[in-house]
Amino acid sequence: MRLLIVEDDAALARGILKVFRAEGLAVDHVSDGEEALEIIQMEPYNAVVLDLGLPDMDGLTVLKQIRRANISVPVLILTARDATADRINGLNQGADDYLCKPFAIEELEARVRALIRRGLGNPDPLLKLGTLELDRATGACYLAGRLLELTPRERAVLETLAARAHSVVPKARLSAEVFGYDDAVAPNALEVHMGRLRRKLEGGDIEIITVRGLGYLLRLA
Amino acid sequence: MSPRKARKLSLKRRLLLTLLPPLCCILLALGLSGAWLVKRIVEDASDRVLSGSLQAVSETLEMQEGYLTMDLPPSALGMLENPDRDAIYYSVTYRGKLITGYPELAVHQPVQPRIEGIRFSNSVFHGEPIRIASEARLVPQLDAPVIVQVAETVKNRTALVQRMLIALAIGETILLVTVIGLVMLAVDWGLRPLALLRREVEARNDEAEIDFAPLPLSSVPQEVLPFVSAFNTLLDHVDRSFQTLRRFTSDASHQLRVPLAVVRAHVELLRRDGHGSPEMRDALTDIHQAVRALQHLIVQLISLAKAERPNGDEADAGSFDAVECTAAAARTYAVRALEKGMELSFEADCEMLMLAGNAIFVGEMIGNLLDNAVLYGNAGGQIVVRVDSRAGTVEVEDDGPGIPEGARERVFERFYRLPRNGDREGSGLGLSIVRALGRRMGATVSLETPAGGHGVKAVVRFPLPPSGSAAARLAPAPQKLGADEAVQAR
Repeated sequence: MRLLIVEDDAALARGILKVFRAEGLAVDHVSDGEEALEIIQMEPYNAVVLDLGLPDMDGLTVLKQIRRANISVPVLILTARDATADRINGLNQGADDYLCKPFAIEELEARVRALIRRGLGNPDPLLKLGTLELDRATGACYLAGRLLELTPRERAVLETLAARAHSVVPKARLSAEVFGYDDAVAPNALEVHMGRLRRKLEGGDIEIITVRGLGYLLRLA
Repeated sequence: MSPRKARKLSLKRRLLLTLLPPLCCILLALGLSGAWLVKRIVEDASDRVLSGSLQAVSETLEMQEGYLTMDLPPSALGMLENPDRDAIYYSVTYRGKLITGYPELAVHQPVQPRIEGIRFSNSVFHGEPIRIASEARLVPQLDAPVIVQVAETVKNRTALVQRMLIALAIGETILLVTVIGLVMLAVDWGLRPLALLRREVEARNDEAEIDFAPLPLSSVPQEVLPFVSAFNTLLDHVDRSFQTLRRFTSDASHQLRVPLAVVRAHVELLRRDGHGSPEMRDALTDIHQAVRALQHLIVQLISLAKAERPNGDEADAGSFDAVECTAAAARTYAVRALEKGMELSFEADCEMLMLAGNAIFVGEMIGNLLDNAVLYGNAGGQIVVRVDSRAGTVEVEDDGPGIPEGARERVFERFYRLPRNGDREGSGLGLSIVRALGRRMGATVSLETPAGGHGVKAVVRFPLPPSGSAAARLAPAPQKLGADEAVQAR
């Protein structure tokens, strides 16, 4: 995995480099736009972290030129600007993600990892949360090493929730994922599946929480 | 109120004080000269009548057969008749000897009678003031002049003078009162443009966002123009320093971001490495928390500067779905609430509520309110987020310790924090941001006591679109799948 950091602040760059090198990534660092354009066209990077405030040119210009050269490497923009217009502009210019300074290192790591995964085109088929393991390829689902017997709809619910673990999934969205638009469903059908699924997860280290009015959330108990 | 009234009064008083003394002097002079003139005119006219009768009498004097005869025509004294019934006296003397008439009148003879001329004099007769006209007439055959005197009491002329003087006094009084009234009116009228200006300035003070635009000069009287122009210059100054301050806050905060990012990244890395003494690890934890607090503060400062930027950005235009915006913010904070063992729930009485405003701003507003609820609410308590389409409100309610009634306005001030929260995280800017963002969209924010009696209910009241366009509000449709959230909220 190769990652390019384009950041003119040496101290911040050192920190970022350290994090990703510790992760085992091959990380390169350049500190101006000219250099960045040159090296991006030569090396096959899996992701680029691009600072907008570069000494020689605007990061957005770098981004525009990369895209014009038909290089589709995922780009995460790093900036001290946070105006909404700037953000939208950045994404319109072909950025894949956007992060404001100062940021939490974990967030940068997570986002870069997600970018690299997306760039590779095959998201990890194995979903893991605590002792829950869900293989999206085979549909097999284990809790604490024990195989869970799930109906297809229960599995769909669990998969949807697990893919967005620790965040609230709106009920409407779950319904759409689980039932499809053409199914004629009773208004409380989702609750029925949810109740059964909860019983099957009992005793494990994960739980499904109802957030009244908003949806459901899967988390470590 | 009262100092303004006093000032207004004093302006009138000052005008009157400068106007009235000279006016009174003029009126007095007019009165005096008028009185003198009246007296003169009345005297002249009356004297002329008196002299007429005198001549009518004296012209009939003649010598007939050695006797001095006089024919007293009735018209001669009839001329003097008047409604005031002045008494009329006459006397004719020759060489000091009374020939006919009132002997008492003859006493008042002039010492040296002038020939062929009428002399007038004042005297008292029977205790009453009289006016005497005397003529020394030379009658042929007589070696000394015959002195004829006609006198009348002065009741009539005094009454006439009095009447005219009263009329003069009434005229002058009317003039004085009219001038005072006109001064009052003129001051009021002259000050009316100032009153309008005052109202304009007061209206600006009441506005949420103070308007520093110059005051209109069109209706300002010439005399006040320099003052208003100076005031406008001051407004411009204040406006510019205000903007500079805002820009400074925003710029400084932006500049702080990069070094803060460096500190944060390296502190997190050091913490992750996990070596060093326990003291060092504690110190790193403290630094980490301080950096996070600092970052929060800077983000809030930028947010506030952005919220307080003058209106008119394209960011203000547009509309948002209050239900979706609020639900999205609630979803984000639900996770944090759960971590604190709180239960967050969302209630909406409709599926969609389209209002005018900026979705990002609204998200930020609700987010700040939720941040407060999670931060200051009871651990293990309840947070309820509510969208009420009929009232156009979004409410965030917690069951925490609440905010004392007296502090409910103060907590909107920048950096104000309740004493009990002094050592907790939080910047003291959240509610200022909520209010400032609300202002941009014409929304008001207030803190109330929830129905349960404890905790805080923050209410954001958005201006509702006119009822004609109520189509923006969708009633819940229980049959539809998409309405599940709304159904569950019931």
